[in-house]
Amino acid sequence: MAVSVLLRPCHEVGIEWKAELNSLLRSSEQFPNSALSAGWRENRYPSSCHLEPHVTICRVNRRRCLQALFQTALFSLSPFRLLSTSKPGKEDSYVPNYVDVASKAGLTAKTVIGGHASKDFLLSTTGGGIALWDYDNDGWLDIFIVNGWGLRDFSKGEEPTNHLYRNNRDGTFTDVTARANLLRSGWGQGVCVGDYNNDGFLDLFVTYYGKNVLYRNNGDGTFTDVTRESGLLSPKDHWNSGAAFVDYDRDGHLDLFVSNYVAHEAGLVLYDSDPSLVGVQSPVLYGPKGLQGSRNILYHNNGDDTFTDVSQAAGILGPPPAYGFTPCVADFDNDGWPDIYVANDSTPSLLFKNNRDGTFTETGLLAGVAVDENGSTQGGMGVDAGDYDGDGLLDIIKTNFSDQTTSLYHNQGKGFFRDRTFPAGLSGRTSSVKWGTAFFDFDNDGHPDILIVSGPIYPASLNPARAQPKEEDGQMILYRNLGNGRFQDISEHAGPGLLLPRCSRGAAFGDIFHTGQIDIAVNNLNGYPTLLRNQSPSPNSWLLIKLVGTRANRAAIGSRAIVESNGRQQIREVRSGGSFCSQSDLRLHFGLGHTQEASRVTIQWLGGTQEVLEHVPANRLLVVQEGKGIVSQEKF
Amino acid sequence: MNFFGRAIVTIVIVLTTAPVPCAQSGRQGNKAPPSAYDKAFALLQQGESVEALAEIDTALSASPDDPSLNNLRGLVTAKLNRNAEAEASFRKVIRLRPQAAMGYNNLAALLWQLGRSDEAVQSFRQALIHEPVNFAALVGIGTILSAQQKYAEALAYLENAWSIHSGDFQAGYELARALQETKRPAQAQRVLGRLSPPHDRTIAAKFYALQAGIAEQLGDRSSASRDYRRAYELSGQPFEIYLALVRTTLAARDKNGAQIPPAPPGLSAEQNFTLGALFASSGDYSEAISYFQTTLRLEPANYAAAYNLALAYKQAGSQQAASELIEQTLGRQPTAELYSLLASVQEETGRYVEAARNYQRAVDLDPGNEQYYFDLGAEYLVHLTFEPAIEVFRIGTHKFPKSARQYVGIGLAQFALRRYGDAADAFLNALEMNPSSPDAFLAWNALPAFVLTAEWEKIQPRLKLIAERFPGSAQALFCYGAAVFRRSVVSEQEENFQLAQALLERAVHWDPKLAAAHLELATLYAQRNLNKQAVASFLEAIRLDPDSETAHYRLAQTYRNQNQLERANQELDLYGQLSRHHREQLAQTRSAIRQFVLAHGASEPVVTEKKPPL
Repeated sequence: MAVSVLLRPCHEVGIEWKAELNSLLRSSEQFPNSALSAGWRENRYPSSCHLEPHVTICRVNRRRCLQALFQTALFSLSPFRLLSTSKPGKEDSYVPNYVDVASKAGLTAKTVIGGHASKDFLLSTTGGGIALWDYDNDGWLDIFIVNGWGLRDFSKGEEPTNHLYRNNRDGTFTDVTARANLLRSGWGQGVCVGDYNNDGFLDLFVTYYGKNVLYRNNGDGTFTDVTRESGLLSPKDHWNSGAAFVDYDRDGHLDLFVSNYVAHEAGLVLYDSDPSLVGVQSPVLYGPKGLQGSRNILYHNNGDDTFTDVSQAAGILGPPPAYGFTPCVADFDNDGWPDIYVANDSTPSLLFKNNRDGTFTETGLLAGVAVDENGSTQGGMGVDAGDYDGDGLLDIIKTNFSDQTTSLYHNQGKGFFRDRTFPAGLSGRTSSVKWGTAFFDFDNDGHPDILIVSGPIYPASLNPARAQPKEEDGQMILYRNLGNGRFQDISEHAGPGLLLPRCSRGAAFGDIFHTGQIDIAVNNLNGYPTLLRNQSPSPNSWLLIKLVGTRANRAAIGSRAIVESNGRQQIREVRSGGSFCSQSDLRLHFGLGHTQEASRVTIQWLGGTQEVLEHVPANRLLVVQEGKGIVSQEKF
Repeated sequence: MNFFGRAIVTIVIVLTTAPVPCAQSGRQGNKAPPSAYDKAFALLQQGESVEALAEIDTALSASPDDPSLNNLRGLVTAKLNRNAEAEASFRKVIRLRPQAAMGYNNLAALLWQLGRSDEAVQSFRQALIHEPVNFAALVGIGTILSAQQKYAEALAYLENAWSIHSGDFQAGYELARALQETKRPAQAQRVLGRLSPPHDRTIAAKFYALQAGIAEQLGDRSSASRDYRRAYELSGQPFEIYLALVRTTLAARDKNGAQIPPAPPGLSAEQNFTLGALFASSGDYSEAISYFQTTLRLEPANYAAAYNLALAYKQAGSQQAASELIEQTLGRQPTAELYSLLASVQEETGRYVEAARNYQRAVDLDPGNEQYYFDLGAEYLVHLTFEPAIEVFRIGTHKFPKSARQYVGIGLAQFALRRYGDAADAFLNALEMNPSSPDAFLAWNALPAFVLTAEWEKIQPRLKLIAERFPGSAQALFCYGAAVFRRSVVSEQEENFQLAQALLERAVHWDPKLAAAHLELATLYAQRNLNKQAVASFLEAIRLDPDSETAHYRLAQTYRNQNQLERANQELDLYGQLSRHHREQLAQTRSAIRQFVLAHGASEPVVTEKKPPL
């Protein structure tokens, strides 16, 4: 033990200490939320970031100025161009302007996850899933926000519950939770959507610390809890985290993958951790290391509205117990079968390669996506898959804990990846804990960008007596894809909404306001949600594609669209789950740059069939049904 | 005169019982009646020296120039301690028979007995002039020269004597001793091997002691221990042999090691202390404790005994006893090292706050001792009280500007507070002092890569300067080369890759055993798709540091990229095993961490301890 070895008789200390130094330092490396990582690093502009040549900004003053200014102008829906001096239509000078419109939009319920002033248990730091989905099939994205619980009793009528907000199509939302029969309290964790019964209405699966819930969409604005009858009511409690619907056997029925975090019985174990905060702040958490881990679960859809746990038979139980957070389903090796990547906290992440026979083989280490380039495990949180370099292969972005870089794994083909975090320019932001993320094209230039939401483990409002807060308070990080395999951090120039301090967790991405640009909904721990609307119209064209399966599952989850334009091709897959225990819009968004059409759109349906559409005009929503082509389109 | 001095005399007597031919009359081969010489000799053998002398004097009155009678007179008077007469007699023999060795030998033996060694040697040399292969003279000179520690000079005579009478105990013993002293233990062992221990217990003890010493010199501690034990048993328990017995037994101790016999009684305080130190140094603290306790009983004010006893208590796990003794001793003689020792005891017993206070006291009492500053800073550091640790180490860097580890201490505290730029700065300060410092090197290379990238503008010039100032330092080259490599991965500039490669290749050239350099070079090769070189360097890194999970992991990825999947999986298996093992070790480290809190608002910093809820 470090203590006894360190303090041998003085003449031995110098020698003995050398050995323990290594241990000490390794400890601080590998325990991201350990005491050794205490302290707050001043917010610094990463040196790897390159400003646009014509934008001259005094960074610190600018930020403060903007914060003060935008507090009063926050809810305006007209575009702001304070940050950008570029001329409209000049693609390479486009700067977004994300503004938080949550309050104005009516997202007024706070997410409760444990106590606010203290975080005594690990359970009070996780959860916070959010979903963007069209539950009523009106073509507009609605929002479902997972809520948590606390360690104290709540007054009747004030119990925290999940919330379903229906999109009123005018920039506002209405809380329809009660009407939809979705009121429920508990330690909610994550959410995913999928049409498990292929009736054309998206159903909802919510994970819990305890037992998960499957809500069948009745098609009339209401839901029914069908967990028991569907076979998804687990006999034992679990600490469920992320989930994703996946048709792993391509039988046209959506199966379900559920990640599990720490063993349920350890969820309320008090761990004391950061001694430098003791006496200044309440005891906080040590992270999951040392606690019993869990295994993930795969449920097979029997095709009769029931599920069967096939984890053992499918090979999902092979890897040792770990701390699973978010699954990301994608066809990583382009063999037409969905694979499953799981971002794990403090243990190697997993890549379950689909063997195409109902089983999986875990290949994370060999594939190069389990750990970082040094072989060190990271605190994996959120994940997304996207082809950031347009080579036809889906790459992986994984968020990690503080003092760790985000991981960008470049797909080399054959199921192998290479860590490209540093060459891609993603190594600069390490001070905050990073959660929800996605590849998305904020400027519609055809190159997928990256947004990361972050949030400290500790409560947002720290003891003011403390000289240095432990972590940055939930800055969002926006990376612009430069089109050459590298990214540029433009966080501080992308609108005030990204700069507001939040304790964020899940993030969902989609075109909420029918502008052709992606908006972002964020669930914040012990805070109100964030709804980021890009109020700076991009000069570029776009295309939004909704896929409807017939032989493939109705929601077309796992199907893929390949859009070719400007001599490049882009790939998107319809995906359930992802980000951090969240659900983004199932529709596939493509930025087309300055072109007015996609020269070709190829739909690869899960199941093997393929359709090709030629000369598809831009700036519209296409609905493509398997076997029928475009069945409807709508210009925004 | 020691035993061997007396032995020489006896031998001389024995060898000279054959009468001088010219002094004999009718002794050889006839049956003449006993002469006066014979009668006197018989009386001498019966122990009737006075009577023998009378007989001799009577005979000498008739034959005053009889060499044999004069020689015999010399031997008798020597026995009667009438040394002047004995010397006169032997000198007369020499005058009478200047060509015979006998007189010279007897005179030499007498002179050595009287402590006149140089004259004795001269006399033996005279004997050899006239009889160059006279055994007694050869042994005599060799023995005396050995006694004078002129072993190299003695060797020639003793080897000569040994060649004449190999098997002679004295010649063999002295020869073996001289060989041992001149660091030729193997030869000495061969000589001793031809001797049998004599019956005389004292001489036998010396024989075994010499044999043990030779075995010890040859590294055969088991045999040495055995022979020392025999010597000890035969010799009446002298302390010196007991000490040697203890030393060799402890050194040779295995699971079935022989027990050490009890110490001889009546040892002095110093002797007890010596034994205590011997046992303590070999980790036998319970034995050490009893000797130190005895030392203290004999000399209650013996500081060294008190300190070492306390240390032995601590090492034996008797923290309470250690603590009490130290505090008691501090009452009489407060010293920095005692406070430091007390602090370390308190640290082990969980009294961290008091430990910190006492480390502070050690610093106060001996502010010129770098170790105490380091200990205090380390105490704060290990208990995650970083700001005080920084303060202590900061003072340490001012007072001991050549101490790299003070900077490392600051750097670690800054690192823990996530002030990576400051940590890098501190580690660089340490490296600038001495890039070969293991602490500085280890600390620098523990910095995450993103720190190097973020702080590149500040780091690069300093690393470059270090490499230039220490051109032969593999560590300096490695640190700079690794940083340039990390930078080149980000910038993807070819010239940076080339520079990094050149630096790292130089580093491994200067120090082929620097595993970290091989690993980094291998990674660079892999990055540049020089796969064959990458594999070779990874393998070398692993050979030098088989526990490096990073090396195994990266090698696995390199094999994978070359489609050597079976090898890749083998490396991943090794990586997995190492990774699990390291995690278990780290888990143990974490569970031992405690903390304490600085209470605000007191007139002076009051250190209290807060226990965690669970």
